[in-house]
This record gives sequence, structure tokens and C-alpha cells, in this order.
Amino acid sequence: MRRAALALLVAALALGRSAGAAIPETEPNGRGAPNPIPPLLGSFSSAFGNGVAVVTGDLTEGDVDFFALNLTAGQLLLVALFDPERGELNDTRIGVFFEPLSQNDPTVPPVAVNDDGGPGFLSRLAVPIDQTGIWKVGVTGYRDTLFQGAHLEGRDGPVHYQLILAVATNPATRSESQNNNTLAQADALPTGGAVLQAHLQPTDVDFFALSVADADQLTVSLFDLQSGSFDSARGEVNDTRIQLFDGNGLPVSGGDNDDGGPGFLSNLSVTVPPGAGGRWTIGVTGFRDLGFTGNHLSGPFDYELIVSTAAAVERCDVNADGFVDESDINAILNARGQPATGPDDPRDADGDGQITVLDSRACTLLCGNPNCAAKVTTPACGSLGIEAAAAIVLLGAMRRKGARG
Amino acid sequence: MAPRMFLLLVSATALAAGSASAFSPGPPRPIPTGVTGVCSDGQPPPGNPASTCDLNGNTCDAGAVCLASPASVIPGVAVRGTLTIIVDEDVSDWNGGQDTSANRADNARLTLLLEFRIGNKPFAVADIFRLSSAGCTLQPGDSSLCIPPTGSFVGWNEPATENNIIAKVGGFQDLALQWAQVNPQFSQAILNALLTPAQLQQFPDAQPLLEIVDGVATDSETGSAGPGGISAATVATLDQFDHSGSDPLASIRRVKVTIRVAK
Repeated sequence: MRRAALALLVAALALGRSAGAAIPETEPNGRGAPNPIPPLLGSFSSAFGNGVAVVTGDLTEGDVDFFALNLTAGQLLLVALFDPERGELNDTRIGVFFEPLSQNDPTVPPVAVNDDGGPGFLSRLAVPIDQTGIWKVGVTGYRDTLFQGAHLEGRDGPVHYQLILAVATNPATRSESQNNNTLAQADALPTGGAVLQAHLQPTDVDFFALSVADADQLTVSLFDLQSGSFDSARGEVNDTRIQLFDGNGLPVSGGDNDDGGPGFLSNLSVTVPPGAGGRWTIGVTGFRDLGFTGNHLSGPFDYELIVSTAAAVERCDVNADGFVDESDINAILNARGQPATGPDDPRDADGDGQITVLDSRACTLLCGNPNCAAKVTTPACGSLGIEAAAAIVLLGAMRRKGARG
Repeated sequence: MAPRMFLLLVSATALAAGSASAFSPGPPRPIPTGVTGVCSDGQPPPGNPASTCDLNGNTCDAGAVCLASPASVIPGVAVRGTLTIIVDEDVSDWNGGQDTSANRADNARLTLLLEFRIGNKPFAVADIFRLSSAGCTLQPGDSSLCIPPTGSFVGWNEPATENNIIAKVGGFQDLALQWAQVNPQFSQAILNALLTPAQLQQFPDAQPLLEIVDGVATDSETGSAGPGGISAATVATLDQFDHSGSDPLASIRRVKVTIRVAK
């Protein structure tokens, strides 16, 4: 009964969530028990109207994370993984499987696998979906070719990752316009991001605009398409560049990429700085065109562009209970002097990479009760009952994850 | 300026076998002095539980590998990179050359290229080293190209022939590198890229340490090809390009490395 109530609540939250909002993984989620995306494993395209879902997870030493998707033959599954360090330290492996939900047979290889197709040593791949049904996406460490957890990634601390899951269709449900060659004429994308198909040819530049909020995690992934086949050409010929522009039309610092991968394709992940939210524009051009004026000879080719935004981690809520109180402040104080685990560390309120007393002071201002008194928890056998209490806690957590910056 | 010395300290995780492509006998050392190894499963070496895995012959349990102890390295300093090993046994003029010439020992070169990204910026450093057929404790014949030790520095004890850097199916048929510590100039370039000025001052004896546990695959970990063995399936996954024998081109092997800095 409780599981059913929770499932319904999660499903309701998923339907009410804007496309691209992050869905946290739930452990354990190995190959035989994947997290369903969306929760009730309905059609991916129906649940995520813009074609893209953002999953967040932690990969630890020996850990494997699996996610299940309900896909339709003829679609193109696009998978991209990002971490806060741009793949400079962590080395992932992604496998895509077509098999029964509970199957966990290491002797059955994935339909497709990728090691370093993304930024740094991270993974990224496109997989043509040739059968309708349940597909699994597995995330593990580089050494773990059998997807059973035989790897050492995360031994320096959990690898906080964003897994971008997107589905493209042919014909495309969203395409670029004919006149998106300037910042002012950028095609508008929906809030939360989207998957769209576009065309690049010599001297051509494409621009796409969307609204982002402060602290949003914005990802952009580009996959080229083969001529005459609905599959990625893996960037073996086509060489792209992407660049983010802020609301004033100025290049965003760190918002450019050339060969993030696979091949010579581009991808990037950026956190929107404080005060910088607003209408941002994504420029897509060919290599050589540093000014995004069309000075390149890349193409012609079609490509799929996957854009996602998700709210950043809630600062100060160390125990992730959706409420800041003395337990969170004490956790920050106890960690004084330690380096943050990364940009997503909720203890590092000021984002300077170190956990200091300044973080505890900043977080004190966010306490939900006077004097940071502890949150009052509904008794397990109170008037609401344990089922509803658990659901409320989950609701708070989900709202926190879905909250806009 | 000191003569160009190749001061790559390499370790061997497997002992040599008698085949033509076998590798040199060697302990997990030389890991730099002061760096202690720990098995990745947290267990002591089964053959010598009172000791550590960085010492000769102290291999870890099956499925585990010997890593640098966190206490031995500067915390928070780590990146992943790619070490490209290129060997040409007979350096060519523009018209090409062969690997089997009489003056092979004089013309053999080893190139090391280390690449990584840090702070969203690329970094690369490379050097080319002269190989020798004398001065190393290697097997005679095909495996006898190496970098001999110079002074207090241990050279490249792993045989660096084109044939040897390319993995083949069978027992002990893969590079047995586990750690590498490069020469002073190479090392300093890495330190300058990884450490802040304050860290460089705080750790004057810092040494970059290349862990190659993710790059050298043996199926002994899973038991599928016996101790030290490597299967065809694993060979197929390796990043290597074989031009040994009469092919005048150089042979290439790429391995992933985790780069840490010993205190």
C-alpha cells in the first residue's frame, strides 16, 4: 500500500514537472532493478514531451546505476553524461541494453556501449532503437565491462553526475527555422530544454534561445546524423563548435566547446552564475568559426541538438530532507576545513570549494525555524499515518529538486 | 645541464615468462620512496599480510589492484590522462627504415606523450628517449631494449621493444606497467600544471605518480585467462597499433593513467 501511494505521488510529481527537471536516482538500481524513467515506466516520449529527461546520480566505487526507458522502434536514443569536473578525473562507461526488466546476466553484452565519447573521460552515445519495449541505460566505471561494479571510480569520493536521456524521432517533432542565423533571430526553445533537429552547412550558423535561471545546470549536446540513416555519424567527419551567449549577447565565460566528443562534435555543461539568469542563446557553427559569423566549411549535415536545464542542488540542505535546520548547520560546522566534494556539495554555500564557518553562517539565514530549531517530524503513527508521512517527506524532497533557482 | 636521462621508473605487476614476448621480471616497485601501496579491496597482500603491496611480489587478492595509499599523496590533486607510448626500433630517414637493421640498438627511440585536461584546459608534455641494448636487467634478445639506470635514477626496466608494448593473447603478454615516475624535467612540467604555487612550496619533494591500473588489462583479475593472462576479447579493447617487425613505422600503445602527486 505504501509503495503504491509513493509510486502514485512520484508519478504525479513527474507529470507536473517541467521537462528537463532533474530526477534523482534511487539506490539500489543495478542491472536487475533499474530506476524507471518516468516512474511508472510509461512511454518516454509521452512523459517528456520535449524529448529530454535529466537524471542525477552518484557513482561510487563498485556501484552500477541502471535506468529503464519505454521506447518505440524507429526512435534514436541519445545519452550524454556530465560531471562537475568535466571528465577530467572520473572515467565512466555507459551501456544500452534491450532485455527484460529484471534480467541481470553479465554474459549478455549491451546493444551499444561507450567509454570516452563525452567530455574528458565521460561517456556519450547515440543508439538507434530497433525494437519497441523496455531499454536500459547502465552507468558504471571504465573498467567494468560487464556492468557488475568491478571498477574503482569514486574512490576519491562519489562522482556526482548528470545523465541526459533524450529521444529523437524521424521525422523530427521540433526543427530549426529557416532564419535562425543571428542572435536576434534565434529559435526559441521551451523552458527546461528540448531535442531538435537542425542542418548545418558551410557559412551557416544556427542560434537557439531559452530561458535559464540563476544556478541552473545547462547542458548542450550535439550529435551529427548520417546521411540517409537515422543514426549518429559519431563526429568522425563533421566538426562543430558551440557557444553560449548571455542576455546581453555576450559570450558566457566557459560556455564554449569544440571537440567535447564524440569525435569532433561539441557538448558542454554550465552552471548559470548568480544574477546571470535570463534569455540565453546557444550558437552552433563549424570549426574555425571562432566568431560565430559563419566562417567555416563544415557540412552539409543534419544534427540533433539536446538542450537541458535543471535546478542546481539546494544549498545548505545537507541531509536532503527538504528543510534547513540545526542538523544541517551542525553537519556543516563538523566539516569545517574540508574541501567541498564538488560544485554540488550543499555544505559549500558560497561555492568557494571549501567548507568554512562562512558557509554555516550563510546557511543559518536559510533555517526554516527560529534559531534553526529542528524540524518537527510528524509522528510515525500520528493522524496522517506512516504512509502519508513518508509521502510528504518525499514530496518535499522532490519539490526541492524541482525548484527553480 | 645533465645529459638527457630517461628516468622513468616503472613497475612490473607480473613476472616474466619464457616466451619471446615476455616481460621483464619486476616487482611492483619502484614506486617512489615514501609512497605506500594499498590493495583496492582494503585487504593486505595474501602472500605477506604483514606487509604492503608495493613491495616485491606482494600482489593483492584476485580482483584487487595495488594503489597508492591516500596518505602518501597530496589530497584533492588528481586528474585522469592518457599516456601514449611510441616505440620505433629503427628511426627512419624520409625514405623509411626497418626494425631489424644491424644498428638497431643505436636507432631505437621511445617517445612518451602525456595528455590531460585540468581546469577545462588541455595539457600535454612529451619527450623522446634513446633506448639501449645494454645496462638493463632484461632478458637477452628481443626484449633487450630499455633505458638503463643512471646514477640514483632507475631507468625503464620494462623492455621497450615494439613487440613488447603491444599486448597479445596469452600469459604475461601485456605491458606490466603499474606505476610510472618520469624524469625531473617531465615531472616538473606535470607538477607545475597540477599544483598551485602554494602547494609547490609546501611540498618541495612532490613527485607526480602515474597509476596505470586502468590501462593495463589482464584477465587474471577475472580468472578468464589464468594468472597474468590476457584474452582475445581483452586485447581487442586495447588502444594499440602494431608496426613491429619489418614495418618501418613506429608502434603505439595508449593507456589511461590516473595522475596523483606523492608528497
